[in-house]
Amino acid sequence: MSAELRRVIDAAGNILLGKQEVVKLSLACLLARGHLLIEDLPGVGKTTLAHTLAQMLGLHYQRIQFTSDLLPSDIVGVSIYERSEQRFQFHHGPIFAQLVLADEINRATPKAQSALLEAMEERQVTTDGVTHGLPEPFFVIATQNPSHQVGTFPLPESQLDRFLMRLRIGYPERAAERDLLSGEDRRQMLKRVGAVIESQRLTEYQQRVSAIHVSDALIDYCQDILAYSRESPDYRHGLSPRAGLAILQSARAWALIEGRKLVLPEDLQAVLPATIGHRLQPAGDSAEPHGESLVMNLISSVPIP
Amino acid sequence: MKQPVDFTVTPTFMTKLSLMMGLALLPHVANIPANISLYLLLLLTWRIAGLYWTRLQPGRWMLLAATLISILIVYSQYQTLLGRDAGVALLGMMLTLKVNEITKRRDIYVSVFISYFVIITQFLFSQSVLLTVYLVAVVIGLTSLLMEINRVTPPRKPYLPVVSTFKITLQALPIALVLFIIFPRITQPLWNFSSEASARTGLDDRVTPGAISELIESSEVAFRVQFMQQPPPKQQRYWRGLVMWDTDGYSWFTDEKQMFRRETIQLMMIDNPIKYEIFLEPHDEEWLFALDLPLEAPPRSRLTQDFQLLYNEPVTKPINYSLHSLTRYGMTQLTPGLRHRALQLGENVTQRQRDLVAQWRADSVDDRAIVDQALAFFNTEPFIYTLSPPRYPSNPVDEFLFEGMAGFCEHYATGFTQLMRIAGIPSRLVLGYQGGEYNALGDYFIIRQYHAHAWSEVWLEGRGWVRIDPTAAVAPERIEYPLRLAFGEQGAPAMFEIDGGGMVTSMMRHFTHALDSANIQWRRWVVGYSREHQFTLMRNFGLDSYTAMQWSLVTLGIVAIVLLLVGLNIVRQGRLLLSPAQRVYQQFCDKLSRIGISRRSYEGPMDFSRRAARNRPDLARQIMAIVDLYIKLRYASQESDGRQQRLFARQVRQFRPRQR
Repeated sequence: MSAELRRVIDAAGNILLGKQEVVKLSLACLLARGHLLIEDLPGVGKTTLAHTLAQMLGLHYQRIQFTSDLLPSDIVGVSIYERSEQRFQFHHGPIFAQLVLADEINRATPKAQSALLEAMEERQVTTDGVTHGLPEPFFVIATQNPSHQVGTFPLPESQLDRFLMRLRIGYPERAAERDLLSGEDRRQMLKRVGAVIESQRLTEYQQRVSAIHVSDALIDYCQDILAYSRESPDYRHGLSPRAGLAILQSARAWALIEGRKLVLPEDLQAVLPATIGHRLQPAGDSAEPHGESLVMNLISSVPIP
Repeated sequence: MKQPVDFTVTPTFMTKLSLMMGLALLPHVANIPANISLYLLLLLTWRIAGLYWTRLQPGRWMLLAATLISILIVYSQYQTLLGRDAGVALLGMMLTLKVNEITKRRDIYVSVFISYFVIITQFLFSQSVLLTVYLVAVVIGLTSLLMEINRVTPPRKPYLPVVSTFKITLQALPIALVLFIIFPRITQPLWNFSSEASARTGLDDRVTPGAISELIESSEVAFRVQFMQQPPPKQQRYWRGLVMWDTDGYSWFTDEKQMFRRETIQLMMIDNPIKYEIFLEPHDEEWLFALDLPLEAPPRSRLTQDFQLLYNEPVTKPINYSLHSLTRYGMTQLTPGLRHRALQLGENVTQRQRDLVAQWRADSVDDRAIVDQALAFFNTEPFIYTLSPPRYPSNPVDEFLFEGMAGFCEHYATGFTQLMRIAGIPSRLVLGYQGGEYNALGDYFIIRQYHAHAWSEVWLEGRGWVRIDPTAAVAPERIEYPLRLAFGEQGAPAMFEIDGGGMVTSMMRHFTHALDSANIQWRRWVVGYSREHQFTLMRNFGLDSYTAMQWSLVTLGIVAIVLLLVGLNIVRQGRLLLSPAQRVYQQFCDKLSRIGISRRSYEGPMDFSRRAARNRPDLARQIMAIVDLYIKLRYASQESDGRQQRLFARQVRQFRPRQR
């Protein structure tokens, strides 16, 4: 495993106790230039994860708390007429940051949601005919409460597709939780810890991800997975070609973290639950397995060619 | 290649497998001796118990001993290990022992295939529709077990393999039907098991007083009859079987030497012939049954001058035949030879018999009047019709007529025939069945062994052979109502079922009739589908110009071509598309699989090598080296390197793991 990235993961693991795997996946997501959606109950450490990553990687960090009265301009920014300069001056919204935490994204109205999602996709913001580029790297971590909670606007499937990965943090294990409860306040700890790598290095890593080799054999495997999701009666829809791209890109990032120059089927399997969990719906009634377990079924049903 | 999940034999699965085997063997309980059935049950129970209490599991020597004991048991029971019965017993034992050494997936295949074979052997004993339905269900159960062990993931619901198997079975049905209809049928069985058939109940070719009353205890079906038109009334439903001409005074029989002398007899039709079809159960004898009096012989049989139907060979399997019969008829002339034979007497004629007949002769004007006198004698004297007649050891006819006066139909028939011969009236004894049980559901009659009957025929000038049933003179109910099969003490009068029986009885009868009807349709259309039927069918399509040989070749050819195409497709999708690295890697996985570490289909090379190395630290270095090479060859960016490929192939060749 790459030593530098290892350090990032270890350091972040010290803050988010027992959540190494989640940290690793979110780092992979970042390296693959994707955006991350974290879906979990309040209080399991969504914000802390975002904060920690920003800190470790030396990223400029902004947080947007999504509420039902949030307006697109609250995200993107607003042009205000400056009397002194006799012209409109664009005031950058909180989205102009390297790492944006969009907290509780499903509490905002679809209008506000789509402003964020457009920015995520285009990596730029256009207001009043002027296009403003977003900083590089640009990484959005959106969190959402489980959609059955009151007062939420669940993200439509088309919007979910824009997130490279969806993660669930989950409750910590008993020992980890004990350390958390008995230990130092995480926020204080975070302040002490400086950046582990520079944001320039991060960009380098992102470029190296694209150079990781994906063999024909692996593309075969990926296509088998896509084909299975389309043919099997277990899923409502098959996976899109975009999902295929997402899988390969995430697998590359994972292979990089693992310190390999090539992608193995194992890398693909490691990122698969996070990358397609939110893109697959079970066919039939809701008693069928959901999300991750659905993906596990898929993995075990598709033989590696 | 799709490889199912790593397989471990779970107790639940083994219990299921053992139970399915038990179910496959179950119908054999009727075919093999009880002690062997018990032994099989013991073996199966032992197996299932061993799953839960591992200490009960037999070791290798124990199994060997059990195998030898099994062979000894079979040998001591049958004095052979070959043939149908011994073979089936041996097969059952080997199957139940095989379950004890299941460790690999292959063992399960073997066990399930042996079970399929056991199921086939059931048809050597019975081909009834109920058994077929049952066995199809067992086949589905067994196949679903194969399905289960070949799944990549455990089924989401336990019944899903059964559902899939059911679907597969339905898919196979059209092919099976087509093959059933067009594939040439074998007229002769490939092997003949008839000699082993257990003693079947049925009429004997020798009538001794007391012979039929033994038969009367059996409710086994003798044959079934379907009339193409209005069936004759019950008083005329006499089913002719054998005709007995000769007697030694004690028993009646037909002397083989005189039997086939060609003496023709002219028959006058008084009524229109009745058309009907008979479904005869096997009885291991040559004679066929027909409504009194058959006009023709069905295929592969002949009609004798005394209107017996004889099949070309013993009837060892169920057969069907259509016939025409006359219930009213006349005959013109009796040849002197036959007349002489029909007047032969045994050595048991006593003076009191002669006196009785002489008295009748004096009182009568013609033969017909003597017959009436005799019937009146049976009717007015205190004769009793009984199912448990007393024994008449020294001179049965005489003792019965003048002392015991209690008897069954054969007593009356033999007594009457003998008296007629003393009076100079040509007469003979006829053996067959009388009556029958009507199955309203299938519109046919069932004739059971307890319908067995004996009667006489006398020659009256101007009328020919006339059927006289002296039993009817004593107990007319015998002809009118079914017997009530309650055997009283010796000599007690027989009882008859004059009422229809209670509701439960009639429901039971309804049920058995429905089942019987299904069976007969099954036999008619499926079991009875013969070469002749097949040829008729082919002729309707204008395809009868081909010989059976040509047909076999054509059907086999079509099946072979279809299978070849399917197989080619599978191969093309699978092995042929493998790269050299994959093929060698497959060999490597096979080698590990042989020492109990099989790769799951979805397991990547790294995961698999780690797991294998954890399981076998002694092989870890080799495994890791091989997998490293494989990863380089298959997943790395460089173009395929012949040198590395050769190195990889060599390392895999040299990798010879041994079981610990």
